[in-house]
Amino acid sequence: MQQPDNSTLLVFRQPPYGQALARAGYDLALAAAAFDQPISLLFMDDGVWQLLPEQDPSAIEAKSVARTLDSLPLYDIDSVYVETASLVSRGLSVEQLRANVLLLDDTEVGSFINGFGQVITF
Amino acid sequence: MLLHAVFTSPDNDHALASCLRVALPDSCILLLQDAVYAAYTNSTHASRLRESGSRIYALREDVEARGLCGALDEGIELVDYAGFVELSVECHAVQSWY
Repeated sequence: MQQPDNSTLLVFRQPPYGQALARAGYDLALAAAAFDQPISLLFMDDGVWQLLPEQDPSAIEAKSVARTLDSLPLYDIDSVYVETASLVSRGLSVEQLRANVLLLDDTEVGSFINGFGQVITF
Repeated sequence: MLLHAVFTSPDNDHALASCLRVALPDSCILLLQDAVYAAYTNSTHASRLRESGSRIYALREDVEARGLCGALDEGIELVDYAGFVELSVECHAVQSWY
């Protein structure tokens, strides 16, 4: 899965609302897409919690990460990947997640990440 | 080849464990800040690092600050900030773990 040299992978490893990291990641994704930079997203570890449907953070006065995820296709960001092991260890299945995501198993994820020109973690 | 830069203590969160889960065998792993505790001799983390097949480095400044000099697992190479820069150039991309 070799990507072009200017390709960027954003790795989301934190849950959506405990801190502002996820929001910063989406800001970068949308900004990069606006400049036609090739962007892919990988969710692993606690980052997979961002993909749950029916998030309603209004009572904690945060913007919905899930709604931002829904808007990604409008910015031509269709490459959304999830590490299978992170789902399994949390008792999650891909059917429970909202966006259209592609699964990466243990044998794929290392070479997948290795194929990008830049890797930025949130 | 990726340079994996790990920043947090292996006993405090999953950054190092996740790094080892996805790092290809020919990767470079650099321990910085509290991640250098993983390099402490005889720790379970040190043996897992050794078995990973990756080249393992620890930042000298962070090792010295924490009093770990002379107690590092064999097979872990110390680098200073200049060595950190060289590793960054040698590898095609850097993935940070924190």
